[in-house]
Amino acid sequence: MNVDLISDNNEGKQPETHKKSTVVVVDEDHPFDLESYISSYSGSTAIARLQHIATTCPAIAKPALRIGIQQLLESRDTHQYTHLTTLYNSLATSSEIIPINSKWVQETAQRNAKEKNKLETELKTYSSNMIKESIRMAHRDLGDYYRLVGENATALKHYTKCREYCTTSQHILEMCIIVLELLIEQKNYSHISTYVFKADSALDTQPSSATSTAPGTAPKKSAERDRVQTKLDLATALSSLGTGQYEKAASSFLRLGSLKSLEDWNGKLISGSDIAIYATLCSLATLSRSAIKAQVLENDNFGVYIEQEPYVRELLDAYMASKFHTVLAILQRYSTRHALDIHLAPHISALTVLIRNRALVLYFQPFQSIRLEKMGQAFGLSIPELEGYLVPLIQSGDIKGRIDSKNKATKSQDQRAQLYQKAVQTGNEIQSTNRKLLLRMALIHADLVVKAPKEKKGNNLASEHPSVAALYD
Amino acid sequence: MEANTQPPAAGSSLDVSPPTPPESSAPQSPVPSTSTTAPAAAAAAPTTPLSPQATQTQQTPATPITTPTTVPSNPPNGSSKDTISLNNIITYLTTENAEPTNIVGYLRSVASKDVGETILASLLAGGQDPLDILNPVQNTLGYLFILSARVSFNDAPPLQTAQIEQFCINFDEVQARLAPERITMLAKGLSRLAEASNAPQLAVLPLRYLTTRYPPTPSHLTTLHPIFVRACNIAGRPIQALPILNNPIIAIDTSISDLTAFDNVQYHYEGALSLLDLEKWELAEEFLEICVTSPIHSTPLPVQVEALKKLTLVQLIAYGKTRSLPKYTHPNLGRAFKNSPYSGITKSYPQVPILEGASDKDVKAVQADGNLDLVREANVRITRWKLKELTGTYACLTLGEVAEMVKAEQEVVRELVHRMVEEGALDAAIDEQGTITFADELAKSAALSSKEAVQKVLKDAEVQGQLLEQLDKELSRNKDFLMKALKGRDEGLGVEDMELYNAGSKGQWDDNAF
Repeated sequence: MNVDLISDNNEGKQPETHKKSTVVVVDEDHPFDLESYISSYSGSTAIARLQHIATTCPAIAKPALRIGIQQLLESRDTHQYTHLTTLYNSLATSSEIIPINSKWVQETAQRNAKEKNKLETELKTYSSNMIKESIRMAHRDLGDYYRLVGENATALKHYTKCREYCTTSQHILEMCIIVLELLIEQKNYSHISTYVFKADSALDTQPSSATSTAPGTAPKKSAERDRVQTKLDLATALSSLGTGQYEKAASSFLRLGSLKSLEDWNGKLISGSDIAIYATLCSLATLSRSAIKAQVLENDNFGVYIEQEPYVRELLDAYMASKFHTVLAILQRYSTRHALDIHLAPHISALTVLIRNRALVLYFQPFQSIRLEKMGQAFGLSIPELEGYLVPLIQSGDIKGRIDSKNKATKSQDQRAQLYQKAVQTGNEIQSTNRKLLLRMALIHADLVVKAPKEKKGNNLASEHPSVAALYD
Repeated sequence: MEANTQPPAAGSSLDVSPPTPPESSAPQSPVPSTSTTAPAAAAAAPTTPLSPQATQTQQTPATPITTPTTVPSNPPNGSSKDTISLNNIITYLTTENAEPTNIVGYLRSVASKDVGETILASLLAGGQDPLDILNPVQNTLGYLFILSARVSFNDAPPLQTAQIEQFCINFDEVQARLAPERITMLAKGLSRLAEASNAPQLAVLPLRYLTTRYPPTPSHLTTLHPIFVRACNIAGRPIQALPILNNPIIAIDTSISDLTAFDNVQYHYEGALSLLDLEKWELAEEFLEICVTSPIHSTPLPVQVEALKKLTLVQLIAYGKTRSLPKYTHPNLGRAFKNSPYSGITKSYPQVPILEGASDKDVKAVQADGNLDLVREANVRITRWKLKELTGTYACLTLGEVAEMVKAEQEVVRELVHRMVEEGALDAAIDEQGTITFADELAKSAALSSKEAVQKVLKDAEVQGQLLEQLDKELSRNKDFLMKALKGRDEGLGVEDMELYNAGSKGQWDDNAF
């Protein structure tokens, strides 16, 4: 399973932004601190991220793998461990080779096998006993076990099986949350929405049963919902991001509750700075400036997230102040950081393009005519580059203007005149369509319809005999 | 078949008993007395009113008469109707001031007889041409019947051009509209005659007069329209048809013209062919679209499929891209089109010229359809479309840059710009250094947004609106429509009642629960 995961990583993670090659570089212009980055994560996410970093950025592959190997020694996933070590050794020089700790491997393998047998026997016993609750717990424990060992597919299978034995909505909720974690780890974005929906309906069924039993439990249930709501929102947001629906993702991210309510997900799955970055990039790419002001800058909850990653604040401030040069520069600077993030990497180029297009359109709006040179300076782009970006925007209609190639300037078009022209044109077209419709109505009214093929030509009004029709020509 | 012998009538050969005595007369006295043919002495007494319908029982004598001189020795039958003779007909027409409807009925009855047409197509005894006697204005119907009979028979006495033209220029439309089938017959006969004598252009002028004068308004469709346009096309003079083609058809009145569905299809197809010859692409596109969207039950006519093929090509020529057909087009047509090679070869226009890289079979198919000229024109215009696209993005470019983007030579581009400016398809100026400036839309719209232009547009829209309103009113009078509307309303009421009932009962139930 992990092998598949790695290959998915490889395919997904060839970020091809127009400015970078497929291999990400870490240097002075693109700072990236591996230690601090990875310290916010633990568990299997950390391993996955480290692996991703190793594959995309050879410069820090070795330290990344080293950290990964260390962490794995404390887990019980032997396959991952062996894999990473081999990978590391293939990159390392002879002096740095870490030998595979076969003793640990063996021990862990034995322990794993023993536990697996125990759990499986338990499951068999409970199944024969037909006690629903115990079967459910046995499946759940097996699922947990497989997660630890790193076999996510089997884990998922068990969790889905335990769904059948869930009795209360609380169980369903638990199960959904766990499955969501798995799906996010696997980056299986399309199924996330199904499970979010299931969890939602499980939450909804709870209050109704609450009112029927005792009114006192109602507040507790809604607290339950609050707790879980943030996780569900985050899952939705990630799935939207993963499927490229940036606007939906932006709104979901901005709706998130406080960091605390993420509880154990924070760190196990995602960190606060991640959320800040995703949210900012998505909103810059899809929301208008007033929307950003209202939803991002004045959002108290979101302020907490922004604290986690200060450059995000810089980015937002520059954008709102129309300092697009700064915006593009920051994006460029942190491109490494973005490319090395497992969720963001496949989308970073698309998001950059969207942000840049928006910036260009915004910049041009107040002008009737502007020299390309000046515009290029504002963005830090050369004239040919700028022209290259502008032409598709004009063609798609986002910028309503035309390029004056001789003077190297852009002129806006007179909207009013265009409107007149369009109105007259539409009027003519409608008249023509109406005329044709009138004719058609008249034809049908007079029953001048071409009938079945055996009367080769049209049908005579006066009679329906085919032979008569044949007389006509 | 009629064998009645009548008591010998008076010498007068007025058989055809018009209700009023013959003395009333008309300036030209028909020549009954001179004709020895009077044998058809039917009800001698002119008093027997001859209702047109009754004459149907009349039969002409068994021996077909080629010349009225030999007309029947058989006396007319006893039901007081007569044998028909051309003389009688002429006399009736010229001396009686009958109502046109009566005349029509009478003439139709004559024509419906076996040799009725032949009689109508013959000369009077003595070799006179009945057309010389009749007046095209006052005796429109008679003239029409005779003329139409004459042109439809090969061995009828020949006509002079003057006779035909005189009629077409002067006939009385109101009278003529009482006999639409004769008009059709006349038109068909004229074009047939012209073709047979290898001088197809002879038919063009008379048909043009007919088509212009016969319909009550220029937007009525008649059977004359397709015949006329076809004659123009055959004669190689499509421009003659242009004034007629410029009037869009919106009205169909079957009482003034015996139309068939095919007439509509054929008119618009032939019209489109003329317009294509004259290079009026947009109007041709409209005609072809109407041809293609003519209502059909299930199977499209072959001519409609041909029209669809041409339509695609013409849309590329006129607009640079194909447009989807209106919603009411029959789906069978779309299917037939997809099966033809045209959908494939035109898909990537204007990036790829049509037929480039197409198989030999496709090329041959296009050639067989006669559409190679259209394909060539469309391909020539590819540069033009690329240029037009540029105007959307650039306000000003050098010739060199344009040539590069359009992938053509500079000189070619310069010429193309000149031509497009002349045609009004482009608004641009080239200065000495070879820079092309595309004028802003402002120049064009200045003309458009002038007060007069806006008013004109508004007026047109108003006229159309009124037309639609009238149509709506007529439709609401239609019995079928009213029946359906009432039925729907009744059913609706039923449902509402049910809902009310349920809601009421639910309310009760809840009360009981507490």
